[in-house]
Amino acid sequence: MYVKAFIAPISKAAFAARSMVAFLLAIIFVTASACSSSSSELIGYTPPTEKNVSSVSATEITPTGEQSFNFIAPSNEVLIVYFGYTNCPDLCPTTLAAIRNAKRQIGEQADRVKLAMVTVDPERDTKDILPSYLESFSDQYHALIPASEDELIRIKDFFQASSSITKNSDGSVEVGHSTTTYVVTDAGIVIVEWPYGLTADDMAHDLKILLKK
Amino acid sequence: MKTKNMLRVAVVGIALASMGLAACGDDSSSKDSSSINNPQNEIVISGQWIRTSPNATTTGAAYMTITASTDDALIGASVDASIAESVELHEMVMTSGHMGINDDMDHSSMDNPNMSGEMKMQQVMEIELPAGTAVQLKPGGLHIMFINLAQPLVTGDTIQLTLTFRNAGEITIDVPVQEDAP
Repeated sequence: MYVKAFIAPISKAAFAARSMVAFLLAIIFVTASACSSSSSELIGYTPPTEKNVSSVSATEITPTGEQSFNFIAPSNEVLIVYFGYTNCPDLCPTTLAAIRNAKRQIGEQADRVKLAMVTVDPERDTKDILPSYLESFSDQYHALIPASEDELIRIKDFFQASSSITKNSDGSVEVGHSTTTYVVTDAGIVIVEWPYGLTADDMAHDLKILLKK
Repeated sequence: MKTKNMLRVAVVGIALASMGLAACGDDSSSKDSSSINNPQNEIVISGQWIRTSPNATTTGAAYMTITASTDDALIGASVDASIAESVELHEMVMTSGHMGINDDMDHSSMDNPNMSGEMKMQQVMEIELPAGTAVQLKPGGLHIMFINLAQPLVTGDTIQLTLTFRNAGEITIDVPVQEDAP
């Protein structure tokens, strides 16, 4: 009886203490794992099957003329690829501004981030237009103007992007396009896709992880 | 001692709460909000901005939040011809698939494979403003589109934009040109 009476209050107290410790440890563990997941996991969408875009080429406009461009980042860098058009008032500048702001956030590492834009409106986005447009968002860009409808279709197929152009009878042109941004590695693999609306903070988060690899 | 501590917590709590309230107050009395006040209807416009136009583009967009005290609708907008040839109300619509992130979506991890949906812009003749509802014109949604810019929209400039409401009539507001949302 004595032993029982003696043990009971101690074990109750010990149980309470142990429970409290376990509870605190659980909180610390959950917090720690939440922190680690937010710091080391990509926020964008990772394609479940490898998407290799290295073998498709595009026509790049350079200050000296045209050249063939392959969707591969330089060694230890990443290439951001966007499909859009320069007369786009809303989605394109919103996304390109977010990319610009994300690059600003990562400081010197931004030199290792290249931007390529494929115009889905090659008839209006001529060689005098697209490079100038991209200068507003990045000092390191590739202005890609498909030389033919087939070239545009081939590039879109590789990325699983889409676009359409409708010419109305009043002369206006309606352009539809997919809004995903693709991040490509130096092996030509789409490592992460950013849906429209991803913030510059989230893009910067992903870029930091990708540039560490 | 306990009581003293509790009092201290309460004081800190009240201080924090009042800071929070003060911050809210600052927001609602934001100096860039514009309003028109008459006995029938009041229109409050806040957070208005126009994106700096990238080089070589011919279009632009203005964004803002509009709240009408009684049911109303934005039925048109205009700027001086020295800014743009015309102004239209537009919205972005999904023509296929899934657009991307919306405000309600938890995007801590992206697991939606259907992200290559196509977006298209289309003109709307009016934007309904239900009484007391803050209607947001924001990137990826409703916006006021400038067509055939007469000159680039330069950061730091202020553009006078006239909005026409079904009931409240015309309101002209100053809209700052800036790189990003305020």
